[in-house]
Amino acid sequence: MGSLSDLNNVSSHLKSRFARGFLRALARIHNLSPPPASSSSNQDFALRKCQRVKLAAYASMASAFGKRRVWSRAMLQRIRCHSSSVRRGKVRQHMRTMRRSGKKRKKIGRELAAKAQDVKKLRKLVPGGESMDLEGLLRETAHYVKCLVTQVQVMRSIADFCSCPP
Amino acid sequence: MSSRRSRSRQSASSGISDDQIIELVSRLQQLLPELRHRRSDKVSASKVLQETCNYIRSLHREVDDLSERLSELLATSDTAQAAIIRNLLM
Repeated sequence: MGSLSDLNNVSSHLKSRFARGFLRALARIHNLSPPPASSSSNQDFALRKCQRVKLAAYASMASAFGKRRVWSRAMLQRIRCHSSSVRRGKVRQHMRTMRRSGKKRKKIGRELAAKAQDVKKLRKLVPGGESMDLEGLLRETAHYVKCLVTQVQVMRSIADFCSCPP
Repeated sequence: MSSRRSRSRQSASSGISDDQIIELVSRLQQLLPELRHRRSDKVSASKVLQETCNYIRSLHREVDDLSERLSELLATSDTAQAAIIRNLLM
């Protein structure tokens, strides 16, 4: 079982930036005291905790880039709206795009006209994707995928490490 | 970013050069575990975009599962976890 400190030393800059922010957030979430005992509120609390962990993960990743990328900007905005509703006790399974842009899409090349459906689906998945032109969307998607992969790797390492304490 | 975008505008009708799109799509293909070992001319752009969507969705699901796992782990053996985390942040 590799030590978790290896994670920060060996892996890339991005991993350590994400890991540090995420671990701090986990420590904060860990310190939240549960409400007075009652079965429904305990369930709620557990669910909200899970939501908080998820939000912390996305927030830490997006914060590593702040406003420098369209997707991180869009994600941070989305999280600000989402976390206020979490505090109000609403539970959401997935973060949905808040933007409903009615903008006309820029005309894409002849060969790619047939892919409009695929592009549309991609726009919905990438934060901030609705308002970008195709070129921007493809660039942001590449970066977003790289970051998601890193995020998953770090989260998995932390979970594996915590489930088998030395 | 905006200067890059204006430089890429080659023809008034399409707005963005097809070659650049093809380049970006093949870069995306390299990131996908299913398609990265296949030749770019054998894989259609449509396939790359579809696979990208599937991949992003599966990554989101993994984050969901890992969040659930982590939130449960935080609840158990509290002091051990807190100690580990504190040590890491030093």
